Amino acid sequence: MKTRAGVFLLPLVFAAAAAGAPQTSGFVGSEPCKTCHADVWQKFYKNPHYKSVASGKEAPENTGCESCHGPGGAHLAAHGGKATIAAFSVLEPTEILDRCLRCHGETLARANIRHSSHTQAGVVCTNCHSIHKSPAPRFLLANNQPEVCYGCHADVRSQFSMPFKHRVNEGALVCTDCHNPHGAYQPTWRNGERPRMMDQVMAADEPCLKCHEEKRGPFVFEHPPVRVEGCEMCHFPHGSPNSRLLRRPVVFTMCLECHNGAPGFGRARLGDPVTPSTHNMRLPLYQNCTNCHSHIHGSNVSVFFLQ
Amino acid sequence: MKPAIVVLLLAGSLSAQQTVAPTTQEPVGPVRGDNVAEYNIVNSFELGDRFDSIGGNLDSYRSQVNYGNGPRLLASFFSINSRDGHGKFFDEIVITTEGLGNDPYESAVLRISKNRLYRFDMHWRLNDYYNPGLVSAGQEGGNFRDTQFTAQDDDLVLFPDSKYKFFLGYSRSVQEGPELTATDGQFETPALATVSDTATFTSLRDARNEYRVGSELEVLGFRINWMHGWEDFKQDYFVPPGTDASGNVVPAEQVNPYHGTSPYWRLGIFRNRKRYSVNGRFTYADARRAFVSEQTGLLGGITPGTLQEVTMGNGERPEATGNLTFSIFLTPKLTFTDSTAVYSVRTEGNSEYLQLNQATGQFITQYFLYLGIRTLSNQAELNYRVRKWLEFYGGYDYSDRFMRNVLAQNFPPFDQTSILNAGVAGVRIRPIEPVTIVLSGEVGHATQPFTPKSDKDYQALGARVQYKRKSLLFAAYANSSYNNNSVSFTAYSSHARTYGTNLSWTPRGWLSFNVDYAKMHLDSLGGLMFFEGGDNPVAGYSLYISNLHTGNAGARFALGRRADLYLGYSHVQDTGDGRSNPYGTGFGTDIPAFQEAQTFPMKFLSPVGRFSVKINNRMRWNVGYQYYGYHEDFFTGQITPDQAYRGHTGYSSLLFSF
Repeated sequence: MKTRAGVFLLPLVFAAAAAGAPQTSGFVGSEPCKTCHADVWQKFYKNPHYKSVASGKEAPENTGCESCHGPGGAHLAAHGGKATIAAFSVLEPTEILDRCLRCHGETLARANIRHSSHTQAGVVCTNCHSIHKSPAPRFLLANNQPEVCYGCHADVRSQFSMPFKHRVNEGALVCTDCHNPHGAYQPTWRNGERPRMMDQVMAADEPCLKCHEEKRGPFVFEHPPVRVEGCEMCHFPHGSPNSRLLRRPVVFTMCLECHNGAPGFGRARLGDPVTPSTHNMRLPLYQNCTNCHSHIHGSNVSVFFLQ
Repeated sequence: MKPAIVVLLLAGSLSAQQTVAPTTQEPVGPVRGDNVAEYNIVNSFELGDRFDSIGGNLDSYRSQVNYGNGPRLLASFFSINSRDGHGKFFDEIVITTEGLGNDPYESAVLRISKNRLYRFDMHWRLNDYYNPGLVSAGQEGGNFRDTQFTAQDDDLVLFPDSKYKFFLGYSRSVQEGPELTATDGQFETPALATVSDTATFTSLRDARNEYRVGSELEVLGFRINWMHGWEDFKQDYFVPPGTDASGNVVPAEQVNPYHGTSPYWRLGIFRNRKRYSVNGRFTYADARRAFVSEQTGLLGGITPGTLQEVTMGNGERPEATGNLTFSIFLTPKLTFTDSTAVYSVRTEGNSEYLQLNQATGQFITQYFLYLGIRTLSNQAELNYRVRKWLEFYGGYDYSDRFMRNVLAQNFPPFDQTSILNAGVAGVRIRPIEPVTIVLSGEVGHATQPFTPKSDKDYQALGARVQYKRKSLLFAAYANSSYNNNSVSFTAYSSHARTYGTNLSWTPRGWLSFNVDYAKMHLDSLGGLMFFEGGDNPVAGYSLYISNLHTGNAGARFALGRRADLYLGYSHVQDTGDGRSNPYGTGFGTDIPAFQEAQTFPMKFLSPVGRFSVKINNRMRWNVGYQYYGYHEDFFTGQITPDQAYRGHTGYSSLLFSF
């Protein structure tokens, strides 16, 4: 098939050369590609990259197939073959990255892709995006979110299967609502080094606050760990066996792990306040701290977050 | 890379999803759609009816699953594309929906674009769930909610393929439902903490509106992206007069408009060259909030009608960040990246409290408790590709976080600084073509962690082995995260380990499998100081142990050319620390109250089956069943009913294309 196609296309190569096409650079345009790669071409008009073809004004290296796969002259002359063109199935991850970032590099969302955890693990563009066979309606993803992410992060699939979870499997959210898979800027919570792939909303806030806006503040009385350490101090963000995505099944043990008076911590390094003697921890009333401390994320009225 | 994509696509077609409907990725209609004039149209709609039968605790089911009865548009897809890329008003319209009409989780995505001229994206979603206010095993807690959350994001890009782009955006979210609020509070400072508050449910509404405008342009070889946004927030609630469950009189009226605006600016610069790239991002946001709270009624045991309190104030939180990253491609194999970030935030403002007693009267002004944080961090990393099959990276992270607190007016500020030093390293090996091995590690030390649970001496290790060949993907991974944070009278240590494996295999075109299993272990030892029925504090410790086993399995069978059968199973089980009763046998602390709390065995399982048959080229009939079972081993029934439930859910639908 390839041989026959090559024989058929050979005159096109000569014709292009005779017409003064940029043979020295090896660009032959997208037309010859249609013969062998008809399956790709027949639906390529639905591809966002088709814009370069439809425009008719782009330079050869920025048009159609050759804008990604490089000059096709040698490929054409050799009657196909992965060695004669930039075939993404055999390219090194860094080469794939370089080719895609030639057009997609200078954007805010992908600014840190080269030193992202994905790139360090050898996960690059075509691991998640299927340029020619994407079943997803947007972004040419190789599958719908979150299935793309679950392909490697199977443990996260498990977390979203918990009884208490964010509704990702139900379609209410997607991974990129909170994460930037292309590499994020350093977080403004914790010590500024981790977590590494979190997106930021409203300029520089933790992504949780986009939906849980009422917890943003500022409050007269801030619960400092919310601002200093972030929401994951008390919550498992994906899913949890405990209600309200808490890290512990019973609230008071989680609170007391900090509020135990251990010196050297907290705002004054005198220890986070220890629970008062009026709180008998044997009684269920006191074991559920948020029964009374209902505004635990911050309050404008109560220093103890009672309202 | 093609085999990888094939595996992903096939695996996706059977994806072990957790909800039985809608029917996913079953073909209907012409493969390439229908051509109408210069456009191509593809569409599919899945109309169906859900049914359910729930046993056990219905509230718990509604909190966790919440699928109900009735007809709905389970899913739809519509796309129209211009075939020559020169449509008159548009070149592409894509609309996808899920669950419209009746499902508790609904979404719709719309994209309209015309090449080179504009691109508009809209994403709407609704999340409707019931939460019985649980905070622990079978015990009620705060923030009771029967909540409906809707959100919509709209983004318009003008000249998306030009060097000069313009952005316009609007987002809106509304959350409505009852919330537990303590309405009988008094304004409190540590010196005035004498109240006993009563908790009352009230109807609450949060509304957020965000507006964005920006552009992108090139100046002196740099791509510059800027955006200015405003985010408005408002919260209202109202409590009618009455008494609570304990017979306490709640305020006759409480109106609490809490509102504010948060303008923000964001500037990004980029420049990519063959030998280097540089990018920066600088932001400034100023969250502002104003509030007023008024209560009239019986407060603190005073005769009704004699006391009125008003709390009002303005708060401000200016927040500035700067990020600057350089990447230098020293050789084609060696890359050095340095990233520096600065973060500065402070919370300040004023608030006033007015308590009007007809007999005495009282007026207090209370300022915000100042909280300022300034973090300076730097990350330097080196990536080296030794061979095609071998690549290393290593780096050093430094972070200096300074905090200033003013705990009361006229008190001197309290400062503290925490310095973090951390090292990261990793290696990626491809010994043979289909096998990839990734090892990574991080070790760090923080001088002054903020809380006993914060990272102090920590290490995080990860390993992943993957075999990927044609239609087979197999991976195994192990991750660990340890943290030790010693304090004077006890120590805090946390050990988290995850082991897992996953397999996707499509041996035949009509048969595919997807299986994954993970074990997540967590044990945390923490020091506790509390009171137990007396005035003498009790020092103890807690040992929390969780051993979570999770598994998902799915198999898809294509039966002839017309029918598809999918069978799946999801299992989540926490085996705890192995004890057989809530009070333990020597694990953790010897205080019964804490033994009960420190491990929480439970089980959540969900088998699913789905059958789809092609009636004709444009129509399929689908039917499915899913069972949900939830059980807590150590339910004690102290306050609320047993949370266990059994849910039988199913659906029948028609998937068709015009």
